[in-house]
Amino acid sequence: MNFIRVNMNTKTIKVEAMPDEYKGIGGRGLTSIMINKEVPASCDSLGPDNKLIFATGMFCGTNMFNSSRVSIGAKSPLTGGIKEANVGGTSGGALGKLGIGAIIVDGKPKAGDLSILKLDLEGNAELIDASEYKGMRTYALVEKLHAKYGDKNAVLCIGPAGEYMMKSASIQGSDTDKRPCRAAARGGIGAVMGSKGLKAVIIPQNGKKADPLVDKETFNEATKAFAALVKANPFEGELLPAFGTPALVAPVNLMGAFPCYNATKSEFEGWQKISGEALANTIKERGGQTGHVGCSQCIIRCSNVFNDKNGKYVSSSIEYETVWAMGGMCGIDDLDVIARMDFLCDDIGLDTMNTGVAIAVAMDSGYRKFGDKNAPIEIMDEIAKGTEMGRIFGDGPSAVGKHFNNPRVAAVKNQSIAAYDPRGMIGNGVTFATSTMGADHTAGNMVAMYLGHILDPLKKEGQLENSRENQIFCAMADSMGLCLFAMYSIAAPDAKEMFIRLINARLGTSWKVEDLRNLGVRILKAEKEFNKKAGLTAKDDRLPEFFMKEPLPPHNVVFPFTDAELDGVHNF
Amino acid sequence: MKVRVQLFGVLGRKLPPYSSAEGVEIVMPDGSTAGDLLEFLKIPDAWAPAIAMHSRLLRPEDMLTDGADIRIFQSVHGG
Repeated sequence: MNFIRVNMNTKTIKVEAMPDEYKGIGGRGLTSIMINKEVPASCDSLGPDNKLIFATGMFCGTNMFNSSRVSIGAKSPLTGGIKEANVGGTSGGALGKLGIGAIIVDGKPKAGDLSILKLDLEGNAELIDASEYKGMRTYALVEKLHAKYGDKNAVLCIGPAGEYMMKSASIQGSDTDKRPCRAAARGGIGAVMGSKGLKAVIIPQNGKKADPLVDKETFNEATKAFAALVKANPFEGELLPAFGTPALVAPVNLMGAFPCYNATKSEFEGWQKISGEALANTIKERGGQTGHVGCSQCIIRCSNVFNDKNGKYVSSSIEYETVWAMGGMCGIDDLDVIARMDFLCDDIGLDTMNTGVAIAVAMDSGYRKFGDKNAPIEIMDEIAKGTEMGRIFGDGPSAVGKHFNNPRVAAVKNQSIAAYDPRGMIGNGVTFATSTMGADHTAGNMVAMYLGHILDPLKKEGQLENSRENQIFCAMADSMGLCLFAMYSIAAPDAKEMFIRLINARLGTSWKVEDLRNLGVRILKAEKEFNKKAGLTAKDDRLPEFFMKEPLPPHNVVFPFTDAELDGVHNF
Repeated sequence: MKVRVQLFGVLGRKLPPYSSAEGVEIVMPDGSTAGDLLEFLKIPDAWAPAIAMHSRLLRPEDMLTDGADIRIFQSVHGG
């Protein structure tokens, strides 16, 4: 595997073999360990010393299913700490097939300078002037790039929000239908890309330079067996292809843990209008698609394509977290509004969660009324234009809360929570508070433990320990280049041993099952170390006060953990 | 006792009469549990069912309440 180092100040590119110290690490492990080593923690996240790292997961470029996720890391302008956001679609597999372990972008060009990084089939790269694409939204951009450079290329890109360096800016990735509708959404990672003057990365998908499998026969056998586990699971095999992630709308509402109206209620009265079931029915009626393959080599098919009443494409894919942020949090029970907002976020290049919660905070502050279906669209227009209010909204819920002097901001380290109220699912609250990434639904989500009766969502017993172990698991899983849903099948009997066979057949290593946990701990330690150097303290590992002060109906409970209990979560 | 049952997700497709927005009222013997209800509906453990009543998840041994709305869906992961 090779590294491509790009300096945006000198416009120089260097291709080098992956150093020995990084071999056997991929994805989030690679971005976080490199950032901790190479990025001065006190640097300006939007300055020349920060590095934007695109790292392929361990299985990217192989014939393993669901293996097309690329991790993107940097110091976050949103949290002030380390950040990794990963994205599916087509780019992770494409990079892996070119034999690229990481692209490391540093430096900063002169103001207004904009470039594209274009890779070729030899795994080399060149910078191309991109001034003609300045200010362009992602759908138009990707269409033009495909027309000019060929539509077999995967694209990672930013929209206007990234160019404005807004703290909710995402990096969008193209899906199997060539649409930039997949997002490395969180932490303002798109703002870092904007600060580097990098509009897009273009990656051929037909590379043939992937590192060969060390033991192809064992790898193929274990891949087939692991795929059978995924397909046999009722969640991955049936529920996700039928309803996608919005299948969560019903359970989370019925458990009284769906934050709505800026987290003042926990069961949204209109939830049956925006549930996974309602979404699937609407999609079917309008000739859209459920069970859509959005990512290369996907066998789960959780994606969907949403059309309007005339059968015209609106957006792909409508996800649970977006349904929540644009729906329940804003008091909007209309799938057409939610889908339109999803498209606008992808097109402008924004995190749907941070943006939806920012709008909810504004509604809670009286800026607009909850349930106002026009308000979110108008606000998106402000963000896209980069107006004064638009820039506040584009910086996320903490910036909006500060503007309106409203402390009811459901965020940790300035990053919005996801669609689980910390009072109704208290273990998720522990993860939101203590995650190195800020509040995050992929950093250690406990919902399956509640539905499976492993834990009671309202009782303290077992929550801290299981949040810790889930955080360790997710750090490891984010390093593989596999989607998290595929990784969940590792909980099946004998699956860990099977997974270890895959890793060893891929790399020629002699990993044991315990090495999976060891990798997760190593990553979290690197992230904690970076955050500490960056000035984050235990006080940053806290939920906003209202979660401890305002009892949440219908359970009428508050988040119960003390500061000391939270501070012990990462005592590995 | 009478309870009103509504199924979600794939369960609703497997047992369509129970997937309507209103659900279906059924009569169970007094003292019935969540597990009894699953047995009545012929929903096997392999379908990973989860039952909610009064905004709480029920364990199989938990008693049903007369007149309650019961929602049954499948265990899911977040991501």
